[in-house]
Amino acid sequence: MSDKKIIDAKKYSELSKIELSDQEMNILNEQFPDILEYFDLLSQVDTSENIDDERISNIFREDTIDDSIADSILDVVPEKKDRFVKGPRMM
Amino acid sequence: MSQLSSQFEEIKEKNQTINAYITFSDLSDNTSNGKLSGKTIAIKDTISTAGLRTTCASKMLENYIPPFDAHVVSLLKNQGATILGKANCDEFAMGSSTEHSAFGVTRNPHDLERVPGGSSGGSAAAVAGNLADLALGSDTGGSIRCPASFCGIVGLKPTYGLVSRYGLIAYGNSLEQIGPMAKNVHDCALLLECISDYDNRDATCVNTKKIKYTEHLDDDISNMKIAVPKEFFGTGTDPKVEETVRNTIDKLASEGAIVEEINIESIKYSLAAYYIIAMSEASSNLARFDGLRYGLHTGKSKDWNELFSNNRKSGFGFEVKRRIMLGTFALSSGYFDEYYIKAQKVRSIITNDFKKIFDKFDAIVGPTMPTLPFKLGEKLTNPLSMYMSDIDTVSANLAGIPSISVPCGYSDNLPIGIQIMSSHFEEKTLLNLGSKIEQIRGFDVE
Amino acid sequence: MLSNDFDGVKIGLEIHCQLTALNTKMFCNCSSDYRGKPPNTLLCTVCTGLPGALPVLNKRALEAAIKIGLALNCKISNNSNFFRKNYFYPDSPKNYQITQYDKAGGEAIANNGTVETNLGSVRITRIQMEEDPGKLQYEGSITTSSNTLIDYNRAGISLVEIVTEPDIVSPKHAREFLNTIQSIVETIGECDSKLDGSMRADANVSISDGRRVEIKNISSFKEVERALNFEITRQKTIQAASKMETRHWDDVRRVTVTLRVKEDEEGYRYFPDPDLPPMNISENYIDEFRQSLPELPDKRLKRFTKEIKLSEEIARILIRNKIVADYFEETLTHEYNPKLLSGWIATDIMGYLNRNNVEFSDLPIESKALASLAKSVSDSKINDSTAKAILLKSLSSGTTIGDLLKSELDNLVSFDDLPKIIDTVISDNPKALEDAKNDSQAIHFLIGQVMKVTKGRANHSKVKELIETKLK
Repeated sequence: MSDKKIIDAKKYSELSKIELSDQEMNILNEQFPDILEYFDLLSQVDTSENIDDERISNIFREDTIDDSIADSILDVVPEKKDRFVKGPRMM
Repeated sequence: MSQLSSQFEEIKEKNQTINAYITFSDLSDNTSNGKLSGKTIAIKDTISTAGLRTTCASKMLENYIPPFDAHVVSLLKNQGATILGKANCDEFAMGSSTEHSAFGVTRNPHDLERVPGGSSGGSAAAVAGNLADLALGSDTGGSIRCPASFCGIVGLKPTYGLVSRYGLIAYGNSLEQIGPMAKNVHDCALLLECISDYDNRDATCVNTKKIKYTEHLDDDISNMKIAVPKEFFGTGTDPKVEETVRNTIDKLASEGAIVEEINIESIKYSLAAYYIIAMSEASSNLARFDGLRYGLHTGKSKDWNELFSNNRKSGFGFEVKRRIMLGTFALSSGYFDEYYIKAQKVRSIITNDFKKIFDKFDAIVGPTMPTLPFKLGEKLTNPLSMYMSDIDTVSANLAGIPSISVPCGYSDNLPIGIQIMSSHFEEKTLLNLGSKIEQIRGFDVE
Repeated sequence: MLSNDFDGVKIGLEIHCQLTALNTKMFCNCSSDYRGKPPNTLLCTVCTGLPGALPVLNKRALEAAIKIGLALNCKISNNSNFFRKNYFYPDSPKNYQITQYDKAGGEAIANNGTVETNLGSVRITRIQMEEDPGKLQYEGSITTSSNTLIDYNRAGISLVEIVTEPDIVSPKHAREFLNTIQSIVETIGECDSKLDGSMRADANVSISDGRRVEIKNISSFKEVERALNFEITRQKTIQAASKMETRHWDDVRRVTVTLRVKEDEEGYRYFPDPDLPPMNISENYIDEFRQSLPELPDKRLKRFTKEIKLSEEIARILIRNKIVADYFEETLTHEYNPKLLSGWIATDIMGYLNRNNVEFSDLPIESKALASLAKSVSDSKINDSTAKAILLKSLSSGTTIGDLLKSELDNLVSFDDLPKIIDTVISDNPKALEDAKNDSQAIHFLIGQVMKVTKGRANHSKVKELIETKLK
């Protein structure tokens, strides 16, 4: 527990597609080791025994068509071209 | 309607100080006659309302007007409730103080320099400050109970699956529920009756027998077995909070309840397990906010990659970013087993431990919050200390059990809440005990 | 290096198969009939990933996946669940895909199957259910277009992904395997492979010592063989691929090109989807589907070769396409002449259709008409070659077999007139009659003379029969 883990916020900012400013990056890199140290508390728990969770299962719906609400969905789209959602260039 | 209109103007005036609302409704006339006719309600801004801006207190959704109502909102409308507006909260429900809102902090009506708790701080402050009769909150790790406690009102987190999540903008979807907030247990029970309705659009919603909670408030509590886990009075618990809560427990005992102090070792680990799971789920739940289909769109970019990064950089606040980073980390290969899987296993242990307790006891009681409402800004720079505020509430979310916070006393004129948990779908017990506490605590909430 | 040198080649396939028989999408009640619809007309809160929307599984999607799993001899999972595959891409409404996973407590709906083909069996690793993304369109090409136009009509369509072990040994084997899969899913009626884009494949290929290269974006099964041939030649030319990579099949230029990946495999951050409860599937439930499965192509193949006594080659051609095999069996109900009918269908009809790019389903000849043609042969009214000529003429001219057969028969010298003609021919060729008595082959000269006199309008077998009586 003495060695604090260092995680690189940059890597996770790329994976999560959130650009971070240098200042944000520094703050996060400074805070993460303490937070992870707290999370590492879990390593003290013996989890070798398998516990079956009682969860609900088999919730399905019937294969029946509802009216499309496409127009009201398109109403909230910021950038459109005709009925297409307009996205940025790919490459 | 004119009386309501003038009342509405007063509320808008009061809101200038409290900042409980982000958006007011146009106060459309609700002609439905139901259990909530004549009642005004504030809806947490994480819950979708058709035609009424729903921001999640985020810049990302600053201009988002949902084309549909959350299931609970349809139910409220059917029961004749008057929706006053959308209540402030921590951005995407991530926080315990309502300071992480893109629309400014909400102030605690009991002390304007203090936080109302969070994340449903706007909902709690609206009810406590007489800006609404009732409110809906959502509770992922304590977000209903924390502000209920800090604002001196009643707030209940239902059993996972009792209330439909359809239309609730997800933060930690395996943990959260929409729940009622009110000045008193009766109104809280009434609101729960209205929103606990099976919905086949939420696959995690459970089709249970409908219960009239309001009819069980005066049930006899003598011989009810109450467990008091030592872990809920750990280091960091304010002695004034402990004293008030223990006094209330003693009063329950003198009403005939059988109280026993117990240990639930695994509670120690609940906060770490909760944050790992909630952040992991959040990192995936919030991936959809890229600005293409709805939400903030920053305009010109070199390519899609840059556009997504820009939109998300500009749309999300820093606490949201922090949690997405940590969640992304906990799910990434190399760390997945050590964090996410481990946390899920610990969650199973905690759930199992609670199950065993409820084989012997009807309820578990302790403080809702370890401290009194803290000062604005006090914990803002230290995220871990903020996370610690949820230490007593998160275990109910991990176990999926219902939990209520009921005002049980004051210290330095600041409210203190007592928390009660019960077995799955035993909300009746919580409300019954809560109602008893209202009778024996020796004060009324105005 | 020759491209047909396939020593040490190992190919694995991932086949995406849309469940086209379903009315609605996988997790919402939007219509799944998206082909030819104006963009973004089949949308709801769920398939566009609006905040607060939640997925609920279409029961029929589960049923279809179980049926496909059983048809590919898989073990159906009793405890299957959904995972999220996290990656950002503009065609993905939630920036994660709901899919299944085989690690971290995940279990796909079906596992460990096998599929027999005449070039060797192929093991099925697993079959998983997942949702299709939306469709991206470009003004120009993907590299030059200044923006992307997104249509979410396809987003949320039900797919099963069939993942194989690397048991496929050549591009031809891959094609054969894909044809088998196609015929199986069509037989059980869950995927209409004729619909554009309903079946797509990714391939991974390695040659001995080489590392695995993945080829994505193979839009049709015909292209699979082509892409694999290209890639194997490419890998052999550079002495085995030096690195593990993902390549994109460009079906216009017919080359594979390096693909800029969306996300590393390890960046996908798979975890169980909390919105979807697990599926506990009992053996009884699975048995119901097992018992209701129609006759599958491999069983039909056995029946065709064992009971109907077709050659394996012909039988395989017929069973490859359910419509063809069904048509064949229908002709048999009218006229039981399997050898003749199977030959016509497998060789003459399918050859003609292939050359002219016509789908079998558009064949203008009714099974009853083809059967009547066979009956005319069985009844010795016309001979094989005449019948075949009528068949081909009907195909090319569009004239019905009935009409062609009638005019052919009208045109024939009547059976009553034949003995007189034969007597004349024999009396003109007395030596030939003597030859034929000694040498059975010599009879053909006499038959030929009769055909010559009648300008070919005599029934060949009747002529032979009549001459034979003269030889006794």
